[in-house]
Amino acid sequence: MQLTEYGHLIVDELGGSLRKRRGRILISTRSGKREIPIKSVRDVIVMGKVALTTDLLIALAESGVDLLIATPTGRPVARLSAARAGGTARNRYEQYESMRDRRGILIAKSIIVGKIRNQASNMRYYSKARRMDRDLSLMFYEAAERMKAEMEALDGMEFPEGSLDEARKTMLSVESRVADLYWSMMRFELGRWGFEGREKREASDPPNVCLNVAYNLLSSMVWKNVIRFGLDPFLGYVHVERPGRLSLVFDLMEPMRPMVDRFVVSFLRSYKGELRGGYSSEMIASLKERFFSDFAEDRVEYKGRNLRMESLIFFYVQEVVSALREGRAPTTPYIPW
Amino acid sequence: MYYIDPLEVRKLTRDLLPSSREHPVDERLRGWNWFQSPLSPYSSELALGVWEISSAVCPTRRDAWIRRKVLRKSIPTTPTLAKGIVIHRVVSSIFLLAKKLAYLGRYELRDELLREAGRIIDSEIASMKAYARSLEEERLGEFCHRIAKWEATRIESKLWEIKAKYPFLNEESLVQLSFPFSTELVLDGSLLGLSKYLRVDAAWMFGGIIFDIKTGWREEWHRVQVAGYALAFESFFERPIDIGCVVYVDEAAGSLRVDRDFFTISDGLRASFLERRDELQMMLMRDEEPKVAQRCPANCLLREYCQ
Repeated sequence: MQLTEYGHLIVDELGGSLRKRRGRILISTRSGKREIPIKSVRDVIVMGKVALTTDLLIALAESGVDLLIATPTGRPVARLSAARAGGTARNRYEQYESMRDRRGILIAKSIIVGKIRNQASNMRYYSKARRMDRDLSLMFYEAAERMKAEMEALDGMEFPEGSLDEARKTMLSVESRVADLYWSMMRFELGRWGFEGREKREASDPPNVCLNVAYNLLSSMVWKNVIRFGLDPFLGYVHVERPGRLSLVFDLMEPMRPMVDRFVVSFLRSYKGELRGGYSSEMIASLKERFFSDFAEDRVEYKGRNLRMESLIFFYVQEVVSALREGRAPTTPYIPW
Repeated sequence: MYYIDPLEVRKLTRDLLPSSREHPVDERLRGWNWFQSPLSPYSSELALGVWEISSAVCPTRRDAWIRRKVLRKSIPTTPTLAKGIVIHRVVSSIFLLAKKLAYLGRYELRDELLREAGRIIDSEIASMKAYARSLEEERLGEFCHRIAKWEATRIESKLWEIKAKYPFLNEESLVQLSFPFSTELVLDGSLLGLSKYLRVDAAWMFGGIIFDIKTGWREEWHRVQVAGYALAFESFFERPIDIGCVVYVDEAAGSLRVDRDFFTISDGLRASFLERRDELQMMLMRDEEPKVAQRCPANCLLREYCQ
């Protein structure tokens, strides 16, 4: 169990209980008892197996504290939010309407362009980090240039109003071409830990496991804000609708994936434990801790403000809502270096 | 140019400085981290000027290519840039002479400064005319004389203001208080792949502000250029520079307008400078001749080399 500086209470113990006690959360585990004031908690993320009392659930909902139940690898399973949260029907209405007009296309395009821009930025970053190896540095640089060209071409494309399905096909083909190039280059950064290519399911090499866990944690951060702004998490612009799939959440986390990639590379580089035999539960625990202490606290400039990643996600979702209401393309977060 | 008025002091103390402390620059984007990505340059041998990196006059950066590979000398791309060079030399020579005279214990400076300015204006315009044939000499000369008059008057008044406040100061202290900034500050930018002989128009060393003089319209790259100098300063002195200021000097209704644009040197500006530096270095290192731009600036002085 860990309470980060910014109020994320991460519970990953097996066994124990969480209950309410005089405005505090009483956590009882095998290693002892601890009380934390509800006021100092922003999120409770349960990744282990613990008992929770209804008294505590009510207190959390009334205090506006989010409760997320996730698997040990961080994949979101359930969320408790206050009954009145996300009560803005207007935003949902605009979201549904936007699927039929140009707003949907603008948002989808901004998501893919934003993602490619950040991927190219990563390539440039690694190009310089590897400048001692001139050939490799040049390969990274050329990959960045090709991605930039793809991004600019896509950005300049015009799609007729109401053609989201058609536009999506074009955008996804560009996205997948860039992704192939991106991950083939990322092999040079991640290869030393057994990475041979991107594996979304049943991954066993440390880089893929770390990427999956970190993306899961990112999705929970985006999901929280999607609900907060009253958007429908199941209706996406880039990811097609499929029962049970958090399409909009997956859409809005796309531009931030390359930021996670860079965090994962830096985590693996600094991880002191053994990685040669594959991943371990210690590695995942350490990754989760670093995700909340480093990645979520990292500051990124967004629309002239230096924001913590968590606040950035909030403002980005807010920007998407404003874009929906004003009919313009949202500004996507960007790490320019 | 560099004396700040009370309103600007308030803006700095109440707005820019607190905000730069509240949202500090990412440590990885400080000049003293020149040895690691993203600051480390691709090449330490290919030394570039801050101005040629940041100026966004030619869309394909062909102007830099022509300067480096064809002409092999540093000349301005547009008449506005040429005009800017003349103005900036006039201002810097006035400050230099004013300091010299103050050290000699002379405080009636205005007339002497104006004489010196007149000489500099004539020689600078004549040498710039070789590159920029479309330069309107007379008009520029008149404008520079106005700038010189204004600056000389301000310098003399500042000197007397300090002298009246502290009558027993020696020359050294008087100069320090009258000229709290360093003009023509030379920086070695080689750690960042920049020229060894960068010259910053002015820097207020104790306040951590870099100044740059510009003429014409406000453009986004003016701030990027100041960010480049800030990075070079940080790599050289290992001291932070958080605030930049572009001083815009223009003609207005038969007189002149001086407008100072203060801003925080944010992560975005730093990153933008680094991105431009890398692109330019790579272009020159790989010997890739950039294409002729589809939309050239109408007043580009290097057009004849593209056609």
